[in-house]
Amino acid sequence: MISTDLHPEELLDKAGVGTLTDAERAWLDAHLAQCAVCRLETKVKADFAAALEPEVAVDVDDVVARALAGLPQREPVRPRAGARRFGALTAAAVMFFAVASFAAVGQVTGVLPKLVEKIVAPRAPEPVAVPVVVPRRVDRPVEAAVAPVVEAPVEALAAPPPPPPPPARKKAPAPAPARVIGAAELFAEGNAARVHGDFAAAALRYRDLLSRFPSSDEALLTRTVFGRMLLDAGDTTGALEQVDAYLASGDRTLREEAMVVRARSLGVQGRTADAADAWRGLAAEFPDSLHARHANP
Amino acid sequence: MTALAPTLRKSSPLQALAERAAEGDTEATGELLKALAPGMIRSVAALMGKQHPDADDVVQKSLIALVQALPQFRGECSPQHYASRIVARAVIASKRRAASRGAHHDAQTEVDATTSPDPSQHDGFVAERRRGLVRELLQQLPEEQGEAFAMRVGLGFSLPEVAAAAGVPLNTVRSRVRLAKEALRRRIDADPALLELLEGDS
Repeated sequence: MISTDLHPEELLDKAGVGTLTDAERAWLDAHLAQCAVCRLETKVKADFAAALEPEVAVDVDDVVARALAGLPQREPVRPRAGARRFGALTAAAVMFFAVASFAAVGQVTGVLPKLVEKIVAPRAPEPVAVPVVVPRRVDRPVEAAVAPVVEAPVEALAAPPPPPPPPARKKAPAPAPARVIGAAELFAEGNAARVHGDFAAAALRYRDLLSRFPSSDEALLTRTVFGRMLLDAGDTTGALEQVDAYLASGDRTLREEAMVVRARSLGVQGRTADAADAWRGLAAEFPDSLHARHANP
Repeated sequence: MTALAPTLRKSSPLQALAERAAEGDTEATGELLKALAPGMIRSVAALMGKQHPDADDVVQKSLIALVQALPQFRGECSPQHYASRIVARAVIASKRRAASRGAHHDAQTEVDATTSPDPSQHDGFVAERRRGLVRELLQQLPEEQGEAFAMRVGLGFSLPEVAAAAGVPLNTVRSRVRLAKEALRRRIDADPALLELLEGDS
């Protein structure tokens, strides 16, 4: 052993910008004297800083022009009403997987909050991973995002009966209008709850969405997002149920991500051959995928 | 010492440009890319090596990925940091693809470029060996550890800057960096001669 396992990252940061106090400098020097890794890190940071060219020797306009020309033309996933909204939803979901899902592959680092136990059916214990969730732009306050869902039928909420005539003398305060909860709201609230780590609330929204609006665009995306969340919670059977339903739909928007969730779930279940098949299938369909390497471990 | 401005900002002209670009304003997209591209090009060169044949490809992929990711940009870090994170991911993905197809450019080409019988070149040689070691490590680490390590060591980000750019809690970044450094420790533990070389002054 040539180093300690605890590294004073904050002090290294302060040393980098020259704001160490004398006491901190002494502490850091003592650490560096015994930690080869931090000594090396300090040198390597300086090496990389020295390697950064002050000027770029390429034609930036040309580089940018080529990039702009290479931008794919986004087409609506489904050429029907609401496609633009679906596009936005898709972008959000794709980003979620491009960052969170990809980032967490292969990581089994801890235990989810006990709340998770409430959202998954009791099953044989399996390894549980802490989901890496990426905060995204939330359109409403968190309190609203996790507020109880109004359970009344949408139609009734959307078209309330005319109120009775007010009392002759005393005016009662007007009742707060009931909130209309549609597929988009459930999806947004589920995502907001998930981002904030409230997996029980997220699962409630997602299940509600799948139950009430099974043919909506949001339900389609939910299959993969929710499947990933269930996988992270250790509910691989539930995860497989969701992503298999998504894959069966034929939609390709989140197909790569769904295939990753499927392969990982099979692996966690110990179905080695099925998992290997799933990774190979992924590599065949998406050879440039970050996950394609799993096909040839 | 960072390739891209390290200061976190709540709002800036660049941030406003990013918002317009995220809404599909093509003129703003072009302006944004022109503003960010130099830093991204420098970062790719630093993380991959100036001579790397895939560098231009990675720059292109990074720029395209940046535009595609703009709708999810929440402004919690500067556009430069956001771009840096995308660069780090693209570099790591490229290294993994290269490894999977058995390509071996990497460190040796860069080291050769700095190798010289002239003793005055020795420091440059050692520095490039150290950079090469980190680049090699990025290829082997889990993605999220590699990303955090690349931003921190390669691009000089502080822990809070990495956390803001990655959109994860500070302790998550701390943990990722610690694990990456563990991998580095194992690497040099296994080769004391390498450590002796790498600890040379530069």
